[in-house]
Amino acid sequence: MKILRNAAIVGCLALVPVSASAQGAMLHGIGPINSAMGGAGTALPNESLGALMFNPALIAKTKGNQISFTTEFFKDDINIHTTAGLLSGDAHPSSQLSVVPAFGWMMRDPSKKMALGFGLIGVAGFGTDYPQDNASVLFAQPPNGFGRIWTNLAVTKIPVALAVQVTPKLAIGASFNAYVGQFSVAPLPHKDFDVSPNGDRWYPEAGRPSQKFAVAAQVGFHYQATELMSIGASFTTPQNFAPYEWNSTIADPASKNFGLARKLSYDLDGPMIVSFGSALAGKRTQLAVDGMFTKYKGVNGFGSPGGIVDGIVYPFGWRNVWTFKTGIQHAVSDALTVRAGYNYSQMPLRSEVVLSATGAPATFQHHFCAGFGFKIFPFLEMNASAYYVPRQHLVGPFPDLNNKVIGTIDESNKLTSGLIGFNFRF
Amino acid sequence: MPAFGWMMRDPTKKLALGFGLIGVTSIETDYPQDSASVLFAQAPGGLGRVWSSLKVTKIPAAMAYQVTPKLALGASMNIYLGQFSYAPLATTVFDVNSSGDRFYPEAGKPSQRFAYSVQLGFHYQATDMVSVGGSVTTPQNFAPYEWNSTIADPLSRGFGASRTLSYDLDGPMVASFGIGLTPDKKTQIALDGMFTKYDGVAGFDALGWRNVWTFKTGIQREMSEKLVVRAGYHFSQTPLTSTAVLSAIGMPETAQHHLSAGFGLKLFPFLEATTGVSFVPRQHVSGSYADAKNAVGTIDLSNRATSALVGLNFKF
Repeated sequence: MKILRNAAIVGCLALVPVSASAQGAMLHGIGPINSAMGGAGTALPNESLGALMFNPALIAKTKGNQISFTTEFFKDDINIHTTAGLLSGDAHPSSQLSVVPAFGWMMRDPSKKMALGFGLIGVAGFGTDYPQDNASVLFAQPPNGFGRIWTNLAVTKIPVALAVQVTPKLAIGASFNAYVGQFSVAPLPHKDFDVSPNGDRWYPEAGRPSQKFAVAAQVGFHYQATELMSIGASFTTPQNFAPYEWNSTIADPASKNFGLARKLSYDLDGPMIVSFGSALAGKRTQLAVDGMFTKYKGVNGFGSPGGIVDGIVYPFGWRNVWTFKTGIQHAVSDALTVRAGYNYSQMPLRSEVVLSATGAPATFQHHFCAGFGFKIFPFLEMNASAYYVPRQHLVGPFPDLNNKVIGTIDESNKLTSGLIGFNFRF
Repeated sequence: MPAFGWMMRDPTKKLALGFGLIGVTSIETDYPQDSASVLFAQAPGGLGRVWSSLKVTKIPAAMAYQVTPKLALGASMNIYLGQFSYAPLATTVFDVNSSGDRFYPEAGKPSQRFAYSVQLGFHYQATDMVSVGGSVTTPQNFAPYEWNSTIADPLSRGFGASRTLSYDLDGPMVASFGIGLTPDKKTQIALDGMFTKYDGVAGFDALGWRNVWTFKTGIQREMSEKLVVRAGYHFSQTPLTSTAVLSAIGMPETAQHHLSAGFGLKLFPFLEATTGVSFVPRQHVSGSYADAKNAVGTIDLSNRATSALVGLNFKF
């Protein structure tokens, strides 16, 4: 029974919040236009949100003003199947609709070479909400299991961008990005815990959303190689958030200090990103093909070793991620544009430390995307899109605190999302 | 707390449309456990560590019609998105140990609910200088917020076992009315009144909130073609009552006097950058501090607020 107790407590790794939908902790695309094209568009000037997210040089490619206002609604469906000896069970967290808004604006005086951009973009968001469940090895009543667990992570990017059309073919751009992160995890399964006289561990709660800021620089270029073909790339520096901090309490219910104040902290930073792509643009049809590299290794929090190290639980344990994206849009008429895209992302999760991902179930790999834009007025287009990420599994060992394998964990997730937005040009 | 608004009217037509995404409520607290405080002392002697969060976003889709040169009527269908957490949730669900001590369970993970309301309004241009307006917003009936929670008594065999919590917290009816004065081409003055009916609203009623009258006034003046300066004052009754001050610790809305100022700078013919600041000086609400049976002391709850806003205003 002691083994099971330890194993269940280790399972608290499941508690750490994770990714929104792709590329680890980030959305695969921003806004209904970019999202419908699989997030591709590093070399394709289209609208402000895609430019501010993936390549600031693109803001120099559109003359006049362009404003995007969009909202994404998504819902995931996590399932965790655990086996430990003769015991096995499934855990389904409560799931609610997540809402992620975004605003982008870019402008270039047609007579000038310089362009400006500004945005407020929800780039990552996730929550888990596991009820205590005695039918589950992981979420059984403490201390035999981990009990009730919930997590929440939301990251907003605020870019201020500048770009210059250096030559008729070459545009370069840069943006200063501020990030606002809000993070909760209750309980927080890491280095701070209480141990009762019989060796049971009790992890304290980090419930109230802790808010921290980070900054990053993003530089990019766009080169119009021929009338038909262009290439582009951008580089975003890592985001160093101050450690998240929480007012918490002593968690061991048998201790006379139960409920007394303690402080918790956890350092969770953001990754370096390299994005590059090529675009083919005809009068009515545009095609974009992109690649992206997201460096989670070495990033505080995400880049932890994962698994159990010296009896301590390390959440995340993510690896670096390569992503392939492609999208196409076609103007069916003057008023209607249709779009489709596909995005494949490696999983940042590693099967050997699947326990560290239990609460961070970023299993998403294949994104099937489609959408359309409808011109309501000459200056106003309404855009809508949807995408579906089929269920993907990650299976690995279920260790106790001594790293002895006592069973297996099968984590899986799928995602359905809809986006709507307005795109103003004037 | 972000906000986005858009309105449009074809100059040749009488119909106008509007749309927005507006953060309208944000109340948060974060009290550490504190043995030096009677209220936040280690449970069960006190409540221990307490935190709360209520955020409401309004999403209006509006339509208005210029009925006559002087009269405009408008209506909007408003969707509301509410997110609510309260840990521990000190209401009717709690655990009692053999000594009679109470332990309240946590409602921590933000629970999300939707509501809708209808808002009707008019604007009447009485003279070149004077206009009047009014609007009514119907109450917002959110489904009860729900949370996965656990048994809270630490010495109970059931400690940590599953339970579900719920709390019904709706939104109030609001009636707003005002008068606009344009004494000269460069100056506008607004005088408003507002009534917010918390009495009978699920959740707020249980917290002991009363109905609130609000008085608002503001002035703006064009200093040049590019610069507009603004100032305002807002007085609101506090919804908190001295008889229920203990219930107000999670939503300490003591604010009464709001002092505001700001300016707008036209960067381009179509674009104005606007900024504003407001300050709410500290206000107190005092009342009795009761245990489960009797008054045992007093609580003085006070709060103040400082706010800064920045925005972009496009006209095209």
